[in-house]
Amino acid sequence: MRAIGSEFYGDDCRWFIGVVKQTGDSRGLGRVRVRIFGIHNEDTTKVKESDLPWASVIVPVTQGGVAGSTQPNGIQVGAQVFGIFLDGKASQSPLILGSIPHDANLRVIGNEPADQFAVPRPSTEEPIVKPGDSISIQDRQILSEAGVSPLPGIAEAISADMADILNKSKPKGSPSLRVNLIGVNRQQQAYNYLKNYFESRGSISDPGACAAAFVGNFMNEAGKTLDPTSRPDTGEDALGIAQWRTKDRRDNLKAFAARYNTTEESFSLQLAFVEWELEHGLHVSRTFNRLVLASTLLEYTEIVLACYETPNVAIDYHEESSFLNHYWAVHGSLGGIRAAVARSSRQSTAMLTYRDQFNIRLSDAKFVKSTYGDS
Amino acid sequence: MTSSPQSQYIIQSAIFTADRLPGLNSREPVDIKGAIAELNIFESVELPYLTGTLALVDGVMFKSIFGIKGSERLEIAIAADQNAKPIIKKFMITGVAKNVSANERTDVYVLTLIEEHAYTSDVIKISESYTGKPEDIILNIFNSHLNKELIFAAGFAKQQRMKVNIPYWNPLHATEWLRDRMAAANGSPYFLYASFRDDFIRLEDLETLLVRNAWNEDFPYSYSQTAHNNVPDMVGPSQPRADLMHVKTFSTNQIESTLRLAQSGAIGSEFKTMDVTSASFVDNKIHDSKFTLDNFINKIDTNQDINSSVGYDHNLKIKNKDIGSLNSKVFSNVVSSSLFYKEDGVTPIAGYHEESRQEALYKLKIKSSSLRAILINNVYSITVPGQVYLVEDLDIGVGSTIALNYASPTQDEDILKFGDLNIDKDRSGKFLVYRTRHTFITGEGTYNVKMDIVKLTDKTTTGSV
Repeated sequence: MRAIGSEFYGDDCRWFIGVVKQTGDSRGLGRVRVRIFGIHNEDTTKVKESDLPWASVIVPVTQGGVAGSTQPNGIQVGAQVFGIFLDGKASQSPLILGSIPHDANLRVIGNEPADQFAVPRPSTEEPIVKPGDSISIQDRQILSEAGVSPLPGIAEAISADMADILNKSKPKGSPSLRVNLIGVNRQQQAYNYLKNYFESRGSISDPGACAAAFVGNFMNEAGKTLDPTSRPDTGEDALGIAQWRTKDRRDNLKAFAARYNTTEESFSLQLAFVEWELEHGLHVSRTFNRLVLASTLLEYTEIVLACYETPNVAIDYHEESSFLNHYWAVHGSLGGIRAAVARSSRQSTAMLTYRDQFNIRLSDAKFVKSTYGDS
Repeated sequence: MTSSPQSQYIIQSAIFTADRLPGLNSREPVDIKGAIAELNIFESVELPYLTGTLALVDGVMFKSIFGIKGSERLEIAIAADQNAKPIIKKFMITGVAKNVSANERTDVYVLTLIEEHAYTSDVIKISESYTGKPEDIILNIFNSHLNKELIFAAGFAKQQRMKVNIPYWNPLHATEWLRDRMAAANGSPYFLYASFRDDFIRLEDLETLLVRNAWNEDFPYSYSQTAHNNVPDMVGPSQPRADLMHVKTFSTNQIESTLRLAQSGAIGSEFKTMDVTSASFVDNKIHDSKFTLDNFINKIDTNQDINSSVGYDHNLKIKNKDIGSLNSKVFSNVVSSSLFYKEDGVTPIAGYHEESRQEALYKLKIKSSSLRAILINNVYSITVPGQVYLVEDLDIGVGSTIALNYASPTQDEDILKFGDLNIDKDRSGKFLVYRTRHTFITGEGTYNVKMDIVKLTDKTTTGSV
């Protein structure tokens, strides 16, 4: 290929579709970083996010179009965009012409590698939404269309009537679950899946760090291989990459698996279930809303450990609910568990053990971030 | 079919292997040297790999037994004689180009060959980000994807560190794209090439090639029966036999075309570039008085005797204007600058097109492209005996320069009487070897090299640089 190709640049036009990965152009031109399908490797070890080009974005003629008149264009991380390359096949200079609306709830696409545990079995019709669960954005939309308008705010719980409406609105039969697993091992696959999910939500300030915190925690729950069939040696009924243990969560996992007509020991299903938990029920307020307020790997790791995983050592330390209240009230605002231990030499064995657990998980989260994410 | 005792070369071995035949590989090697009727190996200063063809005379049902799937390996060792150190080339067989039945029991297959790293390159695509000077990135791609060693013998390219995202291209396509981006400080274009004489890939600029002495400057190739007869026999690599310096054929094809150069945009062109990030505009003009090959060579070596036979006639006037001042082509490009930043998000890194904002660098790129086009405007083809190309440690072949004297027909009695050469200056001088075809014919025992050469200077010797 010659750098100087056709006589007129318009003869070399090449179009693309991509996903916005970063906004906040330091030049104030409204440009965005975009990962382009078929050009930039989905493997972030090959093309890191910091390697992606800042693409110019076409704006309406209602803007001045001269230097200094640029207004925010409103495009967000996770937006699916259409554009052309200004340099044709060299494909280094993208220009975005617009975005393509999409439904993130239909995002479970792609091909799951053959999973030896994904044995089809009869579907059960267990309800997936229960009274007392938190209301998700999607739930609000369904309820609104049904003539029920819950009050604004995430604290409101789903009533029995609402649960009935929502469960009836869910697709009948057994929808297929197809999760796009990208990566050479389960660590990388989990990282990419969760990172994409957090990016699509738009409210997590560092989706990569947040995903790494989850994977780092999972590595200490189900081993470095993230074995989805992992169960504790103690004989407890816990399972999978997050070692879901309490009855409610185990029941939800079973129902979730049944809904998709697959086994709860499927790695893909468990990843999708993590996303489901963060969107429904207890973990919306307990975990997801705290993740929204965090911004560093340390903070994400601490939230996942304390709120999402809540390992046995925490229960030993206090009752689970009082642990959380105490934890966030006393330690969360004062630098977390490491600072808590540092503040006093008189800590319980459980507290020190918990601190050690945290340090290991933080170390693994850092490994995940540096290995599979941006450096 | 083995080489005769008088043969000008010997194929010491031609080992055939295939991954699908592991037993074959581990047992006695299958040596097909005896079945080779003709071998052609092609090299070009434009290509970082060799290709070839091999005529295989199959009288023992070789193809029926082993099959040819275009996935086999062939390691050929060729030497001047049985005791000489051979040149070893490793090829992949890419297919059967032709099959002819010689008789009821014998088939002739013409197999196509390509070096293994080029085969590898054709079956993988890369989508990776690289940051560095173009030569560093090329080196990196060769090391990481093609397991080939690259010799960078030239001066560094003028281009700055850049970040590029290779958009799912095969590695050799990517390195060619990057090479095309390179230009030395004087506008010298770069060449990325493989050669018959060794296993290295070379990345060299035109100046590096030009300043090399012709390897035969004391014994120029001669296209003249008279000169051939008057030169005493010489032996050894430093004094090759006179018959080895005799040019067997000399031909030209589509040369000296100023119009074609103009049509290709090498002269009299305008290059416009718009940067959408800054809305800035750069306009460059290619004008022959500054960018011709002869001027370029003169600057490198002021001791040369350049005349109009190198390059083209830049005195041509069309509508009372120098041809270089006209617009034979108007190229327009649109690029974006400031595409990339370092990890800190503040410090910019140049992209592939970044120098469009730096006029001096952009001119270099255009000058480089122009010089390259002018260089290959006058290509001569010669055929010479090949034995000297098998001599160990003689650094010759593509990328090297040769001295050549072309004797014009004459009626001058003094010249005829004393056997002097009536040198045709246009067709004599120092030439760059651009492409070669090494042909080994078993039945005749001959080894000839057909070369495409391009004129550099009128003199066969090089002055100080």
